[in-house]
Amino acid sequence: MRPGNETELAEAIRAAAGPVVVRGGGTRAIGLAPGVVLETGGLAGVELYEPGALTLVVRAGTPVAEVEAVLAGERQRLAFEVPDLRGLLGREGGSTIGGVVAANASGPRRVQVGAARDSLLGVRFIDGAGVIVKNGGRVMKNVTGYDLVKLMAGSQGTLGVLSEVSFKVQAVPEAEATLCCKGLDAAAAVAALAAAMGSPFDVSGAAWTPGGGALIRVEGLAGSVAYRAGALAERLGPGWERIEGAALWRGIRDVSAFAGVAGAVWRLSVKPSDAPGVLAALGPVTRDVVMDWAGGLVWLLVDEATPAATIRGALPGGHATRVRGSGDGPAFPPEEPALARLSTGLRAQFDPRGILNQGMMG
Amino acid sequence: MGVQFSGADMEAQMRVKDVFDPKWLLNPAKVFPLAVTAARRDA
Repeated sequence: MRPGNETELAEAIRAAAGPVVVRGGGTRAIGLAPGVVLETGGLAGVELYEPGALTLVVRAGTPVAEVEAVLAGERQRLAFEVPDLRGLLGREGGSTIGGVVAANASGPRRVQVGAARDSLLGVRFIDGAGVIVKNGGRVMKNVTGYDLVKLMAGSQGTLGVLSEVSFKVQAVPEAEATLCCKGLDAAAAVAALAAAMGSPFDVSGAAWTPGGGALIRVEGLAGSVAYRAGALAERLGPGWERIEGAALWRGIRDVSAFAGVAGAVWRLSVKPSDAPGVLAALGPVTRDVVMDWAGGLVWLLVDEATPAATIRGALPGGHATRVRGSGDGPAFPPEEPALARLSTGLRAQFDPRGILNQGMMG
Repeated sequence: MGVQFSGADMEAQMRVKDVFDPKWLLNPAKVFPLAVTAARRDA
């Protein structure tokens, strides 16, 4: 099914006789049960763009590439750095903006500006009963009623199918500087990244890989960036050098180190200070690591047959999702009973027939 | 609320409260217009 507008989308959902798999660009496919594919690509195009107000309203099936091109024309961008995981997941096609919102997909700049959901001002979606719902608006200060915008971001299409999304966008800063220190192990890197994040220098990226070392990014006006990069390097001590970073940050964002490399890929969300301990515990099964968000996000490349219990057992807190590969145990992290009750209740309310993206989110 | 949201929009929001507070015990008179929530509060 490929509806061409919101009304057709609502009709398609109302008429659905069984499970529906919502597909934007088809660039992700983890944990989906079979069902009739419902493509959102027919709902494409920019509804409203006011560069002066930093506001963008687009239909959910619009390709991310198109959104980025429109914004780039005014030297603006989506602040949360949309990841491109096609290489990692071995998928073709191009992400849609609705898919990005449904996955709450956010890149390295999350440590500074928040996730996709924090840029999201409003949504229109069709719930599982085929009813069109709107929530939020085109401004930050919209305080009436409940905030369903945040609920929809990251709901993986389980509560409704997005038809339109509104964003607060960001002007592309004049300058960027990346500091790099090679030869740090995970523990030393997390300590340095934490020190940088705790500084007043407004860091917009804090990552580490075993081979590439620790990376810290600052962005803004040229004079400010030069001062902050210098002050950070001084504060962090010897070994930190300013390097050309754009390609490196793209690599971190897209986890390109794991693209085309055999093995299962896990995405761990942990307390940054727990990351070195988790990596040490999982050392025997780990083939490669990409750490972002100052340690809060760990991408792990492990042997294909590694059981989920091995990965999850090593976490003192947080959660782990298997984004690529197969293995024993569920891809999505099992929820605590109290949370599971709320999740199940929300799904039952928004999708009473239980047809939307079965198998997503556990 | 009634100006900004349609009936379906408010219904979607109230369904969230149904999950977190099925008996509408917590601040039942807040956020939503009383006329809209009467049936839920009385139930």
